[in-house]
Amino acid sequence: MSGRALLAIGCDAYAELNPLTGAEADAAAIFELLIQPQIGDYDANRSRLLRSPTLQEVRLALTDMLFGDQPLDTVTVMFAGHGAVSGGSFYMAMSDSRAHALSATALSLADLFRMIAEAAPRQSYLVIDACESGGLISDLNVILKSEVMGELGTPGVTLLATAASNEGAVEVGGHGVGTTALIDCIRGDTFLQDSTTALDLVEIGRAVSERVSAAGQQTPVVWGLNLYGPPGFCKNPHAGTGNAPLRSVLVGWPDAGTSAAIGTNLRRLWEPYVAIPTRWEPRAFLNAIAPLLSSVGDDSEMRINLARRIADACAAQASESRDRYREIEVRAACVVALLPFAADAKVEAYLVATCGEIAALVEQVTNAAVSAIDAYAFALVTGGMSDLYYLPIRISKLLGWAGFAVHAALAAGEDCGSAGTSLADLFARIFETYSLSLVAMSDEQAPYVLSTLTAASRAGLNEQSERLLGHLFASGVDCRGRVAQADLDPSKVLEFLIARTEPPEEASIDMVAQPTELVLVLLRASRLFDLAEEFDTSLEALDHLALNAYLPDDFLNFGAEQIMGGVNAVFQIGHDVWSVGDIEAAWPNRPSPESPGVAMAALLASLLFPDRTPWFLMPLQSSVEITSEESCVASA
Amino acid sequence: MASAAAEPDPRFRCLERAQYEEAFETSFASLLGKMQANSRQMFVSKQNILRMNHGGTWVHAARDPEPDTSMHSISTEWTIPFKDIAENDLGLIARTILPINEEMEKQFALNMYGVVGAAAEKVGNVVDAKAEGSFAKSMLEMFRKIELGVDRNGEISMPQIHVGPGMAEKIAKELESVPPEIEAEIERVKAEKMQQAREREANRKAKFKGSAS
Repeated sequence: MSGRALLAIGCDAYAELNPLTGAEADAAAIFELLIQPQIGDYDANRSRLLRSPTLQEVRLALTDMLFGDQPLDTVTVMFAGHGAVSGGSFYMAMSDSRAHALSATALSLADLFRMIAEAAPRQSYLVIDACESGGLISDLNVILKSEVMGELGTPGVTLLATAASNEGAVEVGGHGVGTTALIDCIRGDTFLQDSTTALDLVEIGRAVSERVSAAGQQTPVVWGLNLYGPPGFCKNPHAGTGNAPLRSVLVGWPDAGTSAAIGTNLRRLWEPYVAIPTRWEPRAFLNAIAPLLSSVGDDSEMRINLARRIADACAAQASESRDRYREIEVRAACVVALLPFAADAKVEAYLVATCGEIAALVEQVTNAAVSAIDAYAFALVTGGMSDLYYLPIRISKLLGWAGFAVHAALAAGEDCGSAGTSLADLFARIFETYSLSLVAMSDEQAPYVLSTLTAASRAGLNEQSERLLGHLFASGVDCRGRVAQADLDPSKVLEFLIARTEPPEEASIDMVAQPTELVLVLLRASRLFDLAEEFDTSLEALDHLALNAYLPDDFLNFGAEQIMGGVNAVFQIGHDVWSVGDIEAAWPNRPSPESPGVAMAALLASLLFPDRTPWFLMPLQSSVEITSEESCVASA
Repeated sequence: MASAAAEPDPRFRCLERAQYEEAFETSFASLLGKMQANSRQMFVSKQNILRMNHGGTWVHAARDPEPDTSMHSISTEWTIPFKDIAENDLGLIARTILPINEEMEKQFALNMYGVVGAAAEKVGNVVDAKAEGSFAKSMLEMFRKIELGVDRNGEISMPQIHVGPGMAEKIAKELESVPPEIEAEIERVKAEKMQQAREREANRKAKFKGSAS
């Protein structure tokens, strides 16, 4: 059981004083935050929230909290309401307090400290957001010099008062400005430091003081005497994160509302942001930035600006990773996050430009991969036994991303010669050392293989494409099309590999993609290189195999975790199709992306989330031959 | 003398998911663990396996000191050729896992026989087949020296004979040609040992307070 107790008092309703509107909400907001284990870790069973209580109710609550059976380590008392200095003493007014009888009807700070001193917790925190609450300092000087604290030993005492003695507390939007600033510090929206695991009220108080004073509304007072032990007001949300670059996202927004909205949503980004170099999860990252981009209303320029800031901050974090593709994936995720807004022309233009920048990075990394393989042939073997599964997938990904660079150049109306040459160089190194790893292993490969083959086709790399396609299709036939599900649980991978060494019929069906998009990609791509008739002769070996293509209604939500609408076009070999031509003849006429920016962002979505395939890259039967004018030729 | 600079890692890390690799490693270790558990059962029943998380020795504090109560570690290492990975040679799995398991099983067996041998040596429970003059006589001597146990169901546990593959066939033949008088004596000693085992078990049980026996 935690030895931490919190009493939050908010007083809006007064029998004989003017009513307030935000005090209860302030107290409730602080209370709800601090009892959360990951934030304040105050013991919910020992903590109380009192809304407009009488003096007697407060005294009873204090008695229970301070003098219960269990040891008390830390006490925090928060008061929001009317405060007043009378006769050199500070009083907190409760619902039944009278202005001219404060000593008898209000809670004096001296009384509160006598109780705390008797209970003798190791640390005490007092937060007061009230008129004249700065007056508590004069009271405190008396209290600390007197017998009140001295006899029992002085505990660590820290006070934060958010209105000076001659000022009134200001409420904005239902909350006191001091409380709002305090909440921002506790939640981590206002960055204090990232070197200690807990925050003390003194350092929070300084930040609150700066913010509130800068607004010219109040002059908070912070007073701390914590001589006993480490800080412990609340946990530090930024401990060890070293996330200074991300803070730059918050700087310099034109209006306070936008800044606050961004600040609120930015909290969700901390965790995925910190994980970028080590445990990168594109979905978690996208889920964190999507609300941020939605928080800026309809202003597309502001949204683009925010997306760019997030991308730059997170790309800087990605540079800490040993993974050469991490920055590219992070930037790609920021592009995909903008996809739902791409109907706006400015966003569309930004997507095209940004995809071009990402393509340039891809080309650099592809060339670096080529150099690495030249220096050490097995440079791509980076795992252990698991690479029997992951290396074929990783090679598909490398080729697929290199294909993206070709597609992006063409989408921007530029020459793809350079990107095509990089792709050709990569092909050459793969064929030299890794040709036996060009196997159909998982449905996860579908979007990458499609990106590669369509890009290679447009870059005139037909020979390389035929070779790649031949390897993949042969292995696909060998395993009877039983490739792994795209989202195969990594703990099942070894089992899948062992099953793959057995006859295909033995493969555990619950690990196999059924239907499969990868085999459908291979079959449809055969048309691009005049291999369809040859593949047709192997289709009997794939008898009964179910194939699928998910085709969305539109591409603005192509990055969503689950895309609504659209259609799954299913074909079953030997039941409704017997040749590649049958598939093409029955291929549904579905919408393509409406603009180059959407198309490239949708392609990035499928490269980040390979459970969706960019079928729009595959030219329809009628247009296969009409590619010469749109193509470029790579020098191999 | 200048020291050689560390070689830079020549590998090109890209498009990795550390969490997937970790999950694979865990499943690999789990498979090896299951195989080891199966091997262990050949020597020790599950009921006699104690698991401890800390320390490097143990004592049966209420018993007389035992000869060797230190933890013995068994370990092996294996090499995965990058070429086999690059060529997607799935046979690598069996070629790696089976030798690992065999090596671990071998080390476990050596430890087991070492511990059993040391314990037998200490109490003089060693039979020299040459000194006895024949297999039949050494079998008889063996029965005279051992004590039979009683399992948790109250059944007598007969001794197991662990021999190398070549010896098993020889022993089977020898057992068929044991002279009748020695066989009778073996049976008599066996019956006597079984009776002694039951008595020991009854005495053990009788030590519980309120025991019916």
